[in-house]
Amino acid sequence: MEESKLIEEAKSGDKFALERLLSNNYPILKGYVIKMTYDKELSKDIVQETMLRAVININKFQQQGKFSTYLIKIATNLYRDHLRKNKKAGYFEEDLPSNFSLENSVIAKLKYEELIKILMSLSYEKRSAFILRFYYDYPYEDIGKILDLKLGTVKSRIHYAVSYIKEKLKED
Amino acid sequence: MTDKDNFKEINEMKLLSQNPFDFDVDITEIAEKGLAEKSRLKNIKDYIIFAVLSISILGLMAAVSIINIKLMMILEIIISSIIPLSVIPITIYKIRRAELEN
Repeated sequence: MEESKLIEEAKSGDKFALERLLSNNYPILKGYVIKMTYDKELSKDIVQETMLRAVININKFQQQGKFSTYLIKIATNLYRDHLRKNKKAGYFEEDLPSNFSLENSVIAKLKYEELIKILMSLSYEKRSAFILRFYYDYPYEDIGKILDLKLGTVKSRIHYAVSYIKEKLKED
Repeated sequence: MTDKDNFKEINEMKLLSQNPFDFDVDITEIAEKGLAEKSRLKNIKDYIIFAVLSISILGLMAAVSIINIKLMMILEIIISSIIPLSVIPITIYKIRRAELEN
């Protein structure tokens, strides 16, 4: 079933349409939140709260954009609120599970940890713009809508993030 | 060189396409909880509207009764005949529509 039809039915209170809509968009939301936080418990909390808020406010959703964009916007706001409350944007090495194996390679795991550190050392505003652009292929305009930013600001943040990451990788 | 080309050069970052951990959430439970919360919020909103309207009508009636008691009686007669004529059909229509949707 088409997403717009599901949204219409979900708006009228159809539980099954709502469940399907959430299930279809769950992987993208989960992947985005994991990349933003690198914290399992926090990711789970944000994903749950995002979906709950999306259900409560579904009637406010304008059907011009994708539902995943709507979810990502809510998740970004929740993560920003979390950072404001906790004043912690840090990534800790222990956040990465010890049994995490990337192609069963120790070198790959070490590399992965390094990359996460670099990504997490960016501010959340630049990190979210970067993730949306390069891991989810969002156009600049959509990123601007999600993050409530002007097009020029989005471009400059992404440009900064790319240059910063390249520089950090060269240092290593 | 665009940012996209620039990013392609950073091959290492592709490693992060994989998630380091996985978790599942109960989507059915979230949908049920969300719908219940939505209905609770709607009830609160309806109650607030009802309270505000009631207070406004009572206030208006009190003001009219102070100005002119006869006018107040005429108003009461009009209201007591108009309200049942409009509220009852609207309520029946809403109930029928809800039954049809379900």
